[in-house]
This record gives sequence, structure tokens and C-alpha cells, in this order.
Amino acid sequence: MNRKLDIDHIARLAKLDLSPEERVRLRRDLERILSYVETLKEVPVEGVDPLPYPHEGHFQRMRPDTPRPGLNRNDVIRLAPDELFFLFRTPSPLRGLKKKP
Amino acid sequence: MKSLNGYEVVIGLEIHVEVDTQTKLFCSCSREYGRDPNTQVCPVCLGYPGALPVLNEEVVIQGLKVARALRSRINEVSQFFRKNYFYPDLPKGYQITQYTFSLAEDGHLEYQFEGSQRRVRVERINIEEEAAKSFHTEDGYTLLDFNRSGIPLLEIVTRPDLRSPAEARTFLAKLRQLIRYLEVSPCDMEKGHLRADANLSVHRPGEPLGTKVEIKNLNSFKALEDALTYEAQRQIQVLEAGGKVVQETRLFDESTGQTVAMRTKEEEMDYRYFPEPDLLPLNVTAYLNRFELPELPWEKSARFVREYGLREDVAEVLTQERALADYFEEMVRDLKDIAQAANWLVNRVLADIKERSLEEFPIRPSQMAELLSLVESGRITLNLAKDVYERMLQEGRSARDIVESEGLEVVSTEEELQKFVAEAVEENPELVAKFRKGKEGVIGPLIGAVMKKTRGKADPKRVRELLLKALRGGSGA
Ligand SMILES: [Zn+2]
Repeated sequence: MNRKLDIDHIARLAKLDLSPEERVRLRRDLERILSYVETLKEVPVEGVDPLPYPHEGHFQRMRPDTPRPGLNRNDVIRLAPDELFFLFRTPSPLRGLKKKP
Repeated sequence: MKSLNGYEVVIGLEIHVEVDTQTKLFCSCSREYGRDPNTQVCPVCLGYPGALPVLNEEVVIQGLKVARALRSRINEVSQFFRKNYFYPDLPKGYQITQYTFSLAEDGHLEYQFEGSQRRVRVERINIEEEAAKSFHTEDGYTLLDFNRSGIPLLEIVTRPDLRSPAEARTFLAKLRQLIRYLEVSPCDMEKGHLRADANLSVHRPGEPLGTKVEIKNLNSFKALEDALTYEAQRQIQVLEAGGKVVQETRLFDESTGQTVAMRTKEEEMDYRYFPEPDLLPLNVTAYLNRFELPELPWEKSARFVREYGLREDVAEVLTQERALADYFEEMVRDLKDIAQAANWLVNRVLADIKERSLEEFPIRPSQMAELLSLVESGRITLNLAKDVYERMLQEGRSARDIVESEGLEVVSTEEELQKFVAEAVEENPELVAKFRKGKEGVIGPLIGAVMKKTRGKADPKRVRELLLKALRGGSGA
């Protein structure tokens, strides 16, 4: 793991506002996870094709273009932490950008 | 476009088309436009944990149609990827899209631009899902409607083969026309069915390509052309001032006509693309024969020239829209003077059709043909046909009905017309004398005199012929 772990960059991508303590703890966790994944590099894979799917020769099924009713809106909105006029309401991602340079 | 100071402009487009299906890309929710917010949602398009996507085969078929019409190489096996980023309109935290292993690659679209034949290469065609619709409020919130979440999109990526903002606009118009012909999408830009991102760079001829800047969300033809024109000028000014163009993403602001740098945090590697583990590879072999291409716009236009003897520009106009071309063909089926009918449609009728759309245009092709056949048989003049047409439009009556009930027919018997000509000659000795002295301009008032006698129902050309004959022949016809 030569690339320096840029915890601030990752936090920005995830739109997380981290306290200094959280930053230290998360860095430690992430470094542990990454170094564990690094051990995979010890496996010799020379001449082995990437195998993103374990089911060689199998392909995805498709469905016909026939509509079916979805969920009831009231049930859906009830699960929302916040709503306005049946729209989900979240803090604006633009707000964070304005606040922090 | 203002002066380019000898710079060359290089443009590529990334176009997103909403595919006109019944259901969404990976779930069976209806994707009908304009329903109440969050009424067309399910665990898949809301991104609930554990919900599994199942691909809509219709999207594959429509995608293959576009791929074939753009002469692309179809990949019989392709793959879906996850593009990871955090944004409220994307509840899963990733968009399912295609990345490497696209549905199709290496296509092209050819068209005429400023008098020359152009070919723009299409790098790839991907299937991907739409994000939810978001509204940002003044007080710092985002409101989300997931009805749009998961609507199927085709992403069409061109090579940087466009050489001016005007050409980019033409290309987009040609692509839109093609997709409408294929009935893959109505491409209503106001409804967001068709959107473009662009990348643009400038360089001096002979020098390597400049740094490219991406411009997002160009949602009309005008926005596309204006944004690219502004951006080209901006980059040239930066370079002329000795500066460097920064690789960045900019957003076009329609109200100011300027592009502004967007604060983005993601770079390509931050998206952490990886194969979508919930979807096995996509094999389209079984779908390659499940569709037929209609006659494509350029094929239809060429056939109109060949079959009907139309001028190329007239054929081009008549084939702009498939429905208009069909209207024309139905109209001329039993007409003799097809060039006249084509001109009539282009010059008299097209503006009225465009004002409302062809479906709402009240005069059917057969009714229009009836009107034009009255002209062809000489029963009414072309001038009178214009009035009859206006009344058909307003009153919804047939041409024959209007002409017959109001006695608008041309005085058809030659004897009658000759009688009127003879009368006019007799009643206007001064004009006749002037004519015979060489003042041939007085033929006008003489024609007028005859037309008055026919109450405007004669063909002025025929009247002129008869008058000339009478005057030159000395003693009438
Ligand atoms: Zn759904």
C-alpha cells in the first residue's frame, strides 16, 4: 500500500463531516482493512484470466416490459427521515459545498 | 462564431436518451411521465438493501436498434458495472451502467454540414439507469422524486470528431431525428428525454490536441451551441493571455450564457467502477433478430428524390419527421403533379403543422389530396386553393364542399372565357391601342378586366394567353 490514504478526500466523497477523533479511528480501521486486502497480492495470478463472475457460460435473465404496481406512497414516505409534499427531503449536497471552501 | 484566432475547435458529445418503455430498467415500476411524486417506486428503484435488479429486455432491443442504425459493432456479450458516488438522487450509492464491455462500439453517423459530407464516429453505446429527480430549495434542502429513478437511458458517446459548435448542434439534431425515426424515444428535450454533455478543446493546426474541458447538462440545442461557443472563446482567451486551460468540469448557466467551473470531488478513479455482482453478463444473441429497422431518414430522403423526382432540399424537409413523410406519401398517392404537391406542403402547410403537431392537424392527407386534385384538374386556381385551404383549416369542411357550395370553380368553358376576353377588348379601346403601339404593360389592366368579369374564378395565366392571342391576332381568337 504505497498510495497514502487520504482520509479527507474519502470523507469529502462520502459527504461526511468527521471530528478529529473519528478521523484517527477511521484511518486506523481503513489501514487495517486495506493491508488485509493487500495480502491478496501474494497470490500468483500470472496467466489467470479475471473471473468477475463465478458462473462461466451463464447469462443474466431478462424480464418482459410489463408494468406492475410498486409500493404504496404513504408506506414509502413513512420510512423517510424527512419529507415535504410527498417528496423525500435531505440536506442539500450543495449546502456542504458552500460552507466548506 | 467570433474569431477563432486561427485555433481549431475539437468537440465530442456524450448524449443521454431516455428509452420509451413501459417500465423502468431494472424493476417493473411504470415510468410514465408526469405522475404524482413517489407513486412509481419499489424496493429496487428506491435502493432498499437486498433488492435485486432484473433487466428489462425491451431496453436491450431498443438499444440494439440504435446500435445497428449507427452502424456499430454489437457486443454479443457485455457487462454492467457499478459507478460509485454519493448523491441524494442515487439511493444505492452507485449507478448501474456499462463501462468497458459496452452494448455496442465503433459506430458512426453521417450527415451533410455546410455543404460537405461529415462522419462522426460513435465510440460506444451503453445502457444505464437514470437518477431520481431532485429539486434544491432556497433553504438548503434537496427534495427527491424517485419516479424518475431507474428510468432506462442509452448513453451514446462520440469521438471528438466535431469541429464547431454549429456542427455539434447539427449532429445532435440528426441523432435526435434518427432516434425518433427508430421510435426509441420521443426525444422531447423539454421533458429531459435527450440531454448532452460535451467536451471541448482548442489547439493550433498542426499542434497536439489541447486540454479538454467537460461541460455538463446541455438541455437544448441553443444551450449546446451557446455553451460551446462561449467555452471555445474562453479557452482561446486563456491561451492568448499566456495561460493554461485547466482540465475540469464546467456547468452552463443559461441565464448568463457562460460556463462556470463546477466543484467536483470525483475523479475517474474515485468512481471505483467494478463489475455489478448482482447482474450476470448480458448476452444479446437471442435479441439480434427481434427487431427490424424502419427506413432511416437518409434512406427515405434519397428515395423521395429518386421516386418522386423531388429536389434534395425539399426531400430533406419532407423527411425531417417520419410522420410528415408518411403524410406526404399518402397525400400524393393519386396526384399527378408531385412537385407541386411537395412545394404546397413545404411552403403553405408546414408552418401550420409545426404550430400544433401532425396528430392535431385537422386536414387528413386524403382531404389535402382532394384539394390539390381540384387544382390539377383546373377546376380551381392555385391562388384560390390557398383560400380554400384556410377555410378547410378553420371550418373543417372538405375542399369539394367549399368549392361547390360557393361556386368557386374556375369558369371552365373556353367559350365563356373567350367571350369575356372579346368583351374586355371591345370595352377598352384605349388600352388596346396602347398595347398595339408597343406598350405591352397594359396587358395587366386587361387581365384585371377579364378576371373581374369571371369574378376571380379564371386562371390568370390562361386569360393572359387568350388576351395575347386576341390582341396580336388582330381580330380576336
Ligand atoms: Zn421500481
